[in-house]
Amino acid sequence: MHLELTARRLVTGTLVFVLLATVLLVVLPFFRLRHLEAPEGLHPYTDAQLRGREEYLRQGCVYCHSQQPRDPSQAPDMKRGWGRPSVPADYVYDTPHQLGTMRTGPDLFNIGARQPSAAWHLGHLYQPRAYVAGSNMPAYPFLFEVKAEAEAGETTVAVPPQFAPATGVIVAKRAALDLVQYMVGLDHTYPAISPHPKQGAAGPLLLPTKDPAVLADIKVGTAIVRDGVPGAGVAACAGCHGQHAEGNAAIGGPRLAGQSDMYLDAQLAAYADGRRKDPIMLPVAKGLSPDQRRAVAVYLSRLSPPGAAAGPPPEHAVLERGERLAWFGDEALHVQGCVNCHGPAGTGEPPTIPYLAGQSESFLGASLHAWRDGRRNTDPSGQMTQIAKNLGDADIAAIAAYYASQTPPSPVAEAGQPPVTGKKR
Amino acid sequence: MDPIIILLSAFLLSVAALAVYIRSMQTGAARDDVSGANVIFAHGETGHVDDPAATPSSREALQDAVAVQAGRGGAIDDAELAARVAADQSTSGVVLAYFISAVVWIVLGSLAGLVASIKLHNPDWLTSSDWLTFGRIRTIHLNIVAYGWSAFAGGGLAIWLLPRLLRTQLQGASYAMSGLILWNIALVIGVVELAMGNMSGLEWLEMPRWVNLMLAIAAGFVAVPLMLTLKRRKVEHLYVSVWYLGLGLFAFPVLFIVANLPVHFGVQQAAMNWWYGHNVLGYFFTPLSLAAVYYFLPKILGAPVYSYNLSLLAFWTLAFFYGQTGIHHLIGGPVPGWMVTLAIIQGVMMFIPVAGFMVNQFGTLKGNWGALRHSPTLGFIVAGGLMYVAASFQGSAMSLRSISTVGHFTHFVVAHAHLGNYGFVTMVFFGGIYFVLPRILQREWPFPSLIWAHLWLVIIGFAIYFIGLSIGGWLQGLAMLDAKRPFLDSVTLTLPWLKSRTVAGLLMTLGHLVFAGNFFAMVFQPGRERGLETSPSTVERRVSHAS
Repeated sequence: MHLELTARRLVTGTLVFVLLATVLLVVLPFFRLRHLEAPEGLHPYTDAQLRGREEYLRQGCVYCHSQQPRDPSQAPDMKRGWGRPSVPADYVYDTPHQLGTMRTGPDLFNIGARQPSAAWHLGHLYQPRAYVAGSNMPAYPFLFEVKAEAEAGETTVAVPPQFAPATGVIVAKRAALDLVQYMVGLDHTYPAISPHPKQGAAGPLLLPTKDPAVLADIKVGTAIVRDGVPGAGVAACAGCHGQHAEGNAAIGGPRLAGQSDMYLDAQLAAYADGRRKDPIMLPVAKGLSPDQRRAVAVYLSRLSPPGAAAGPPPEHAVLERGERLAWFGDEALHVQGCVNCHGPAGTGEPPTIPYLAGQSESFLGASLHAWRDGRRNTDPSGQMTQIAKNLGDADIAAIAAYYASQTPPSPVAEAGQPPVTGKKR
Repeated sequence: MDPIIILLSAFLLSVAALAVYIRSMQTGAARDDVSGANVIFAHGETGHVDDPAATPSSREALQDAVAVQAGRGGAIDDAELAARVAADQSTSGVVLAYFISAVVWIVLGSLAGLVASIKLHNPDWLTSSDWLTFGRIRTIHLNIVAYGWSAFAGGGLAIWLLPRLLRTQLQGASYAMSGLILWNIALVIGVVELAMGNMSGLEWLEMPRWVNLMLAIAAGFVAVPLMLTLKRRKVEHLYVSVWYLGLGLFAFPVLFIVANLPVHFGVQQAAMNWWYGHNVLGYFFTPLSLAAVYYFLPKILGAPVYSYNLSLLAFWTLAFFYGQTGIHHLIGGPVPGWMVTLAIIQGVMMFIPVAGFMVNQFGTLKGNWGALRHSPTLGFIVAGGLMYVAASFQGSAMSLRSISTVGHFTHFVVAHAHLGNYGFVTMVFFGGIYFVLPRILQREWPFPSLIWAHLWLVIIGFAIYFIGLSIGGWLQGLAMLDAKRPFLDSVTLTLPWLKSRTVAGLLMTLGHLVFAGNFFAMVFQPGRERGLETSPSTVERRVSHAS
């Protein structure tokens, strides 16, 4: 009896544990990741690239080359030009995966962006030491032929004389050409999460609608934005925020176009009751009736003008620091990443949380300072105040520079609905 | 449903289940704690050393060196010994075939590994043939030593151990032979496919899927006799080695079949890859080797294992924690964060089973360290056990982010992998084969001194291998983390250490050739029959000749 129990325990116990590990590490990721879609910047492989990828497998490149740049907090992969940390969506076309676990050679996830020259790759495959003295990468002469002369349509490979054969020319075989096609195609430098589709000439300036109530609001809003309400001491919004609310970096007027109507309306209310202290906005907000405020908000939320003129590009290091804070925050400072609330790519979480991408550096900087000084106090959770207090001036400038360099979203859904960001199901 | 909730509930459920298991094992085992550990001995046998690979004189010395002498000279139950001899005889043909396969594969695998090692510091050596390029010969090395050497040596030991531990005879030996033949055919085809470049691109799963299907069928054949034998067991208590064998033999098919399903994709496939790659060690090679240690260590010393309860605790915690640690191979990679966190937590929790094993090994060896001078078999087993502890503690440490940051993507990991697969698994299998072969062939090892030569060649060789490559890998990692240093620094600074690895590989390969020479001399020299007078204290021989 006891003996039967023991044998059964052995079988069931081990199987339960093995299956538990399988569920956690195989089944769960399977269901969590299978609906991933390719980011906008990622293209499927061409036939030649697919053949080249086969060749990559056939030569076992993965045993010396990873394809997974690490997070900057862990390793300076970005500084080596290997690219941003990769995300699961980068690999939707990569089966079998080639993430790799070894870097006898460098990471290749962005080798195509780093070294786009096919001629370089061919020569380097033929004899790595002709190009990188001290490399311990194997030479692949069997992917090439040495011939008296090349025939039409064949690709010859030029290598320095001391590495060239005594007579004849080096001709790349199909396998080498395909492999190089694959490598120069390895370029994952697009944003990890697709920013909002590029706007500009392609999209309409004002989101069309047939809803009469919305049309009425637009009419009222248009007039106020253009002319203000002279009798009530309300200046024209366009004066500081741009003709189509695209923002005015020079005077720190933020971009309002495409911000959710609910958010904009709430800000006007906050200016009016003093939770946001601003001498210019105070009379504007007080001068508008609740209906007028809503109309302005609805109109602005449906605008999508091109971005305002950009200032000079900031220093690389500043941008990098800003990107880091935006995406990951800084544990030492007790600051979480902006993306946690403002959405991936800083495109906002409408209707309550505004987008940051594409706002001007001057406005974003001023706004964070206002949070820090208590001139802005519209976050009931106190999060923004705390974050701003933990940030130094340099970090505020870095975040501002980063989001200023990003593309703003544009409204594509009905006002009040979240605009489409990325391709989530 | 949120994965964190799934994760948390699965974790809590499992810990609760684990507690119930341990509790029930303790109450069950506490009742017959002593008899549980003594199940591998015949009545009156404790206190008798047993090393079939030792010479008569060293056997005497070994007997004098052990601490427990109580049973010496006492009456040993002849009926039990006769049953054990019958168990050995039922497995002898099959196990010999497994060992021959294993020895051939380890020689081939070592040569492939040596070529790969040289190529990393002499990249223009042997570049004209595609099958000799580093990416392929390295893969051939891994697949041969894992699926050739380790699988056959571990499988042979399992088949030999099970009837002994269950006090019965092997059932359905022909299935085991069919499995062996099919597995060998599949592996030969698989290696040829790898040489031709038909590699899947997934580490540890490189052979074509249809070859893996053949391997799975072969494994199914091997499972049949083990299940039949388990059913015919004649013992009250399943000794801890049986538990480990069970884990290895039940878990491997699950791992292998799930891994080969044609459904995996992208990053999910990477997670699956390291769930498999890590568990093929954790759930297959490790339990087979631990089963061997738990048998051979007490058996050679004639002393039961120090704490039997602890061995059971170690078993269940290993079975639980080990399976979930694999994703630490992807720390810093694009996998969901909770998977990495899970791997780190369970990796650290592996401290429990390993500490349990360590206490048991040192406890059993207490007062018996002198025995190591007289038994090379014991030397292999003890060295393997020590390197299991070292590899596991190192593995726990390496799953921490701070250490992984440096060690990941470097030769440090290669050194660690060899500490587990070679230092631990292979050393234990060597010891096991030295113990078992005289029993199944009923002959002495023809050149006992070569056993010592083998032991020292591989120990010195592996020490150079591990120390050199660990240093080189760590320096490589530090160089890679310093953005001011060009990447090539991380390559050039490893070259001296890669050369030391080749020297180490030469010594280890030489050791394997010595082993193979001794092995085949024993197999093909029937003249060296072991007579009664040359092995006076070997109890099995006495019974065998009397019957």
